[in-house]
Amino acid sequence: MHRLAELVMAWWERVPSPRLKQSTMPRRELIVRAALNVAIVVAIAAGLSAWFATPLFLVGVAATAELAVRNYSANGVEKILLICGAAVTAFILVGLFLNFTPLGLTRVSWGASWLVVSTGVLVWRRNSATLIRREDIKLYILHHWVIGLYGIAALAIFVGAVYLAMAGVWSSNQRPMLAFSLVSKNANQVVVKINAISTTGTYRIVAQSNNRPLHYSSSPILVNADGDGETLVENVPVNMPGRWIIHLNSVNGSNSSRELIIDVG
Amino acid sequence: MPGSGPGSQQLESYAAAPDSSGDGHGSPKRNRSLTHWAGLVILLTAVGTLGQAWISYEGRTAGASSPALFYLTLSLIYAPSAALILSGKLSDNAKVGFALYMSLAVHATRFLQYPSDFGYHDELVHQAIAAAIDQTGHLFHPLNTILPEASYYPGMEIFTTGLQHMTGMSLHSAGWVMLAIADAITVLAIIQLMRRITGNMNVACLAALIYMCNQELLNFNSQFSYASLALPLALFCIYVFAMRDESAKLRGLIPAMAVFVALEATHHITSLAVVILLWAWNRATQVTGRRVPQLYVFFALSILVVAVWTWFARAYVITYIQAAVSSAADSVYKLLNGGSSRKLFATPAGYKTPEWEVIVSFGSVLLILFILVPAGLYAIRRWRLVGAVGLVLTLTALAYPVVPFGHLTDNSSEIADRSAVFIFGGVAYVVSIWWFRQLRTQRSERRSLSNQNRLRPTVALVLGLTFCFVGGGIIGDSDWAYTPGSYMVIADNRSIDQLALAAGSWEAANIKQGSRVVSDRDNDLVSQAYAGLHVVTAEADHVDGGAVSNLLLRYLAPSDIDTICADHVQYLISDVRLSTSLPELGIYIDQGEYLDGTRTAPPAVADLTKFDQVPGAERIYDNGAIRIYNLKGLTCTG
Repeated sequence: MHRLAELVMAWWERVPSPRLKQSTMPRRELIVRAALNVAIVVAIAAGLSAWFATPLFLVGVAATAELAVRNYSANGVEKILLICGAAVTAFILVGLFLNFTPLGLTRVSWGASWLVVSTGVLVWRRNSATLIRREDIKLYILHHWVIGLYGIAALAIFVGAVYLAMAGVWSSNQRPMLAFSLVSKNANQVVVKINAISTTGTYRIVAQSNNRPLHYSSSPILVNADGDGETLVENVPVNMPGRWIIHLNSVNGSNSSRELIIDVG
Repeated sequence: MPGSGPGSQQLESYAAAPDSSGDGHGSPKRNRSLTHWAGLVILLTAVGTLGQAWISYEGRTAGASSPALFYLTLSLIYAPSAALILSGKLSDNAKVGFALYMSLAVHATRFLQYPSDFGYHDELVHQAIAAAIDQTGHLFHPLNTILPEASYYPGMEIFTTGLQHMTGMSLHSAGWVMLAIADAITVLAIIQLMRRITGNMNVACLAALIYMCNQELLNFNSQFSYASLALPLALFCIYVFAMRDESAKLRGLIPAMAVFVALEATHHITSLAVVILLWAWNRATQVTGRRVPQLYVFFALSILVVAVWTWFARAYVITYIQAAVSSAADSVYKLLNGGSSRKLFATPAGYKTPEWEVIVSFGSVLLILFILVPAGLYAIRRWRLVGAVGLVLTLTALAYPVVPFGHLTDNSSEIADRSAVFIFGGVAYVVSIWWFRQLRTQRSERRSLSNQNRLRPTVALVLGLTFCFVGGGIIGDSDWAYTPGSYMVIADNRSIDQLALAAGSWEAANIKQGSRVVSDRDNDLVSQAYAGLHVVTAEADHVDGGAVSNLLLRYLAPSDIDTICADHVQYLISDVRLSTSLPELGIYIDQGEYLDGTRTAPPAVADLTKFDQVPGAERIYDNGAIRIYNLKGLTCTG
């Protein structure tokens, strides 16, 4: 393992500079940036979970956009503005271009475009080196750790807020619902579906044709749906062509009847 | 901007004098105290968002929410940050940071109301366009039949679906990332532009705070809609033009032109507004005698871009703009001739805005008008000093009365609301320079006052801003429109509930995409956005909208079968809850529908379910509220 690490380090040191004239970007920075760009393409190709792909992508876009606009920004505020604006503009223009390619706007074409654009920016800005000093980071943390703690507390409150709002959605999605629908039909039978959420009860499917006397009444159907819902598929036999009315009635007579009207034959 | 950047003579006159307490540096003890104040503001803002989440939770679980709590929690986000920014104790970067943090928090409150799905009309239209791009891989087709011209302006959808493809996020999440980025661009662009114009960060931050009082902030501009990205792009376009390298001549225009093309691909009216702004700016330079290099060329090129794109989208966009302008002009004409005006603070279904909200909204309009008089006079008197951009912004600010008075008629209210995002740019500029100029000229007087008295103007300013911020929210929309809650008839976010979404989900699984469907306004949106169905509309299908609306809203007549056959209607989605109330938004389907403008009662259940009795029409879905009819079996003569 130690030997492997040594080999990797030796390779790292020996990585030749790209054959670009007057490149002053440190080799390591160039490799890190290129690796980030490629990692995003790999993440896109592999269909990585959004929880991993999103931060990776946002960091990659921010790093590339920052490199692109670096020479135009006089301060941090302007830099953030230019990064955001340039990224949006580039996305829209690339999307318009992709529309006229046979591939269109797909995951593959977006991935390929990202590779082209990010590599292009890297080549364009090959003379621009990023200076990050540990001392600066330490000093920044030293000066801002108190406000950082407040920020962390605020972030925790915000995460709680999102959870609370989502709890409302989950609760709302579990409200009682009973849907009755047609699946298929032929001359002999009609297949119907019952979708229920947070509904419990015994039901019966009743079918009749053109107001004639009752033709079919199913055996009791127990619906016992929790918040995740329950789906039941039932066959309703029919014995003549014409217009059929199929009821889903509650056995205990509660007011929750559903009705389908189907033409058979 | 050229000729008006920091350091230019005319703008220095507005720059606040350096404040000894405004550099953010002081004794260590004072800095510690400031840090804790800033920390407290950060926490209060977060608590405000938590309050909004509670409102969202209560709305969904209990079906009700308190408007007072809604605006109180919003104020908890806005007011402390505004106070800190205007206190003069923060460094420039910290001021911008807090303005950005607060603005993002305000936008986050909109996310917290609808954290899992889009809930508004335009959001669902754009969701459908984004879904179409995702499925076909191409732009512009299939046409969105509810808002046809929006298909030709897919910039926002390009960005969002691009994010979606590259990160694996859902469309909803990608949409909110897009909105957060758009919000950041808006705030930073306003601050940077105002800073370049006035040369003062205090003025720039105050302008951003004033801008946030416009009624579209909480309403239209925080929705997943093309205008929400177009406005930031417009501001960014102007900024990129302003910061260009003038020595590069025409080559220096390339970045601004690239942004303008992206803007044109995003929204028609906003790009047109930028063209008008460039024209006005160019004219103003002629008045002030200070020419801006390449401005005329940029103006000419932008006209070319707009002309080419409008020609491309001519089939729908020209009709759309024409219809909006002519109906607004018509209703204003009728109003001036003693015709009926819009019923303010009430919906056709009978909802009435609480009295305190009416007072606050009127009060905020009066306050803005009251301040605009001296501020506008100040700017007009010194028009030679404010420069060309200042002149344009001042004239824009003077158009402010259009915003409140536009609400007097139904058709002009939408135009008034949309124009507020531009007019408030001028209001923000005029009021902020006036405020700081007043402070500066009175500085010597204030020096003799105690600390308590020194604070008074800032406290009054923060209270006034918060008052206008809440007033803007109230003017923007009814309070129920901001939050989830119990079902309401044709109320977009309050109509698209679990039952409507369940029907949409069933349609997606069981009805072939592109099938032609007729329904009410909100179930139309659901069937288009979730199931990819083709909603039959007068705008896109060139059919008789009134006849199509008869299928849902009127008693059965033989002509209905003719309409179904002629317009190839395959499915009808009927929500029997429509029979419980008049529509909150005034129409069940669209303007020109059956009994539009004369209706006094909701349609009867028998009318909504009339196809139960029609041979060949099958009821294939029923969830108690929503019934879906398959009309393909109807016999068409000829």
